[in-house]
Amino acid sequence: MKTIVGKTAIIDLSARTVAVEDTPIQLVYHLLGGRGVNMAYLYRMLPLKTDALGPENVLIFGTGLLTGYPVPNSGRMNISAKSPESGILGDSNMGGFFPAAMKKSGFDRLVITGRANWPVYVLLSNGSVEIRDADPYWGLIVPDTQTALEQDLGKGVRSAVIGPAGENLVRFATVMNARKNAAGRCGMGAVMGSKNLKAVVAAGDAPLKIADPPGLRALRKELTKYLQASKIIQIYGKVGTALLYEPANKLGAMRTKNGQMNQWSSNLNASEIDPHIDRMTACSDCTVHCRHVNKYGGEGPDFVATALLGANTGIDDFTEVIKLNNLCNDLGIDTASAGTLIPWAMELYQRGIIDDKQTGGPLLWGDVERVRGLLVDISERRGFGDVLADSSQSIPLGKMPPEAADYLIAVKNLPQSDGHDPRYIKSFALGVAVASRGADHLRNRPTMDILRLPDDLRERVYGAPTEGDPTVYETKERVVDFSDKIFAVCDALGICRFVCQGWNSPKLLGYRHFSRMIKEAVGLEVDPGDLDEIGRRVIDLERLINQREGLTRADDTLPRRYFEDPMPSGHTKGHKIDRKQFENLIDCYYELKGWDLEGNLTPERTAEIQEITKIARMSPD
Amino acid sequence: MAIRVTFGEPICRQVGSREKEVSLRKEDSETSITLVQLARRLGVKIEDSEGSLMILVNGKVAPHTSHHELPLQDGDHVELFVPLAGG
Ligand code: SF4
Repeated sequence: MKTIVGKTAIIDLSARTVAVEDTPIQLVYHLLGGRGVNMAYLYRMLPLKTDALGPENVLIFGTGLLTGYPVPNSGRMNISAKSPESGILGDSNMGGFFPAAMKKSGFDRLVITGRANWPVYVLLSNGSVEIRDADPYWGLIVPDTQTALEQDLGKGVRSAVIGPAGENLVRFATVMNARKNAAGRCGMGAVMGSKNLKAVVAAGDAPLKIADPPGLRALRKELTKYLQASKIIQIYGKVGTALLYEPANKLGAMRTKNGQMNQWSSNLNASEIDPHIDRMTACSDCTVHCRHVNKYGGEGPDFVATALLGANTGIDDFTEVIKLNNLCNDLGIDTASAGTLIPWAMELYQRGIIDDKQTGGPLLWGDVERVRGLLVDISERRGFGDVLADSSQSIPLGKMPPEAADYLIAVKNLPQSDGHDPRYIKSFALGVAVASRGADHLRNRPTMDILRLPDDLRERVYGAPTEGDPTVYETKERVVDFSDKIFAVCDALGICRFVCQGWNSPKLLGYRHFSRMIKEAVGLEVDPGDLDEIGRRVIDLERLINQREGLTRADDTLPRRYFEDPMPSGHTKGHKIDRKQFENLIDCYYELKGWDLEGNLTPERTAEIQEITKIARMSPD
Repeated sequence: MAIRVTFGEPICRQVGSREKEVSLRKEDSETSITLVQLARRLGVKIEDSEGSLMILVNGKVAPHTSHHELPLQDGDHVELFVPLAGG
């Protein structure tokens, strides 16, 4: 059976040229699509030590191999480039309806280089690419941009756009489709802004070719039923990720006031959310519906926004937290970075490391109006907002004093993404330390580690015995390695993390399900073992990209606070990360990966990846 | 006096309230019950094939191994949560 692939468009915005080619099948065999194939282009096309906000940066919109196919939760894609926030690989996953629309417009992937001389947008429809003038949209906030594009191009178009933050090169600017579907992490919106690219619009809706339509229909039915029987899926569909707040808070694992505290108000419990919510909604082809449509003109909040714009900022009013979440989305700002950087500045102010001279006035915990004003200032790069707009780069740029680094909750220069304080659960700590894009939970969070699953079940999932106690270091390399690989495969397929085995349940979709989905949808035979190897390959490829940017073992670490300051209250009181045991754990993780003690791949593995990726470049020859 | 039980999401939706009180059966000379017995009386599963609930007794996490043993008495406060993580 011939494998079905779509097209890849190579777009040079400086020269205003477009070349369209079949997506290289060799890349699909070895890396599937989405994040996997994006990394091949990044590895091959990104010049060494490129300025992330310069025209040489390569911006890649990549749909997953299964994005847009009628299989459960296949509505996602990845946007990748060198990150202006971290300075290493940048990559962000996005749901909503744009990813499927991009695929149905005829494109698996857009590889965008150069910089337009004036604001433009890219229009995709039925296999064609047009670069159009975006002057009328420049300066508009996210929802207004989307509405204006719909008015001009037709109600059915789907757009991925930037807001003022992206235009003003805020290093944690998002790419947004619809009200809350964000490629939020790593500043991909700033990369778009640096290219004068306001939006990518998908106007096509051609049906995708399916290898075995009846087979895929039957499989979809079977998998939907399987997923809907899961307790976890039912929970997400009722309460969304807001549910996570209360257990984390009760445990004493809630990032609060920049990690100085670990518990916060019960006002932000999911049980308080109903009065603020109209209904639940979903990305395309979703069986879960985890997203809230709120009563204040936006979507959300998810757990990240609740925890970081709430507890971490010292705000306990749910209405205000939701409004701040909406404001971030309207301006095109990453809630995770904003909810880490503003509290960082608040602690610096509290300690007298910065003062009114820098901040332009008091910066106090829980001051909602100040936070609201700062978000707008960040997006406009005004006053102290201009300092925060540079995120962790504000230290090397000389805008923040060097001692500010001691209080920054970031790894590899990326502010931590989620609301959990990982000092208690050691596998979470390892995951945050080694995640390829910086301090992040979506790369490898071994959520099952707190479920107290029976030993034999864990052994079946992880392939070897592991410790069930979340507070010990032993064997945690194995649970992170499992999550690294299967989540990379999910991202390469365009499948949502929330239905992936290991994300809060052992019973969701695993390699054997993915293997069947791939065969019925695109006709590619790939067995579960191959998929595990593909996951490993994506992680190795990402390691090579980061090492080329100068990362070493020393960068696989944690914020100072997690090693030195014990958690102050609750069940987790006294917990912190022991440096010696942590370094041992890094050794074990590297060994399991097949890397040396410095975290280097073997020469043979490096050569193998170079061979696989060599086709990913400007023009095939 | 009774055992006070607080339910996190989404258990509170299943049982129809955020809090309940469970009285010991004095007529059976009951002086304490275990977490497993308490959950059975409330119609809540504390363990299934997708994991166990996180249970706090008087503000402290009750170890998994104690669910069949820890004696609950009048005045105790039990909190039940689905321990999801992620973001
Ligand atoms: S579970 Fe949530 S994030 Fe995932 S596809 Fe569905 S609505 Fe989107």
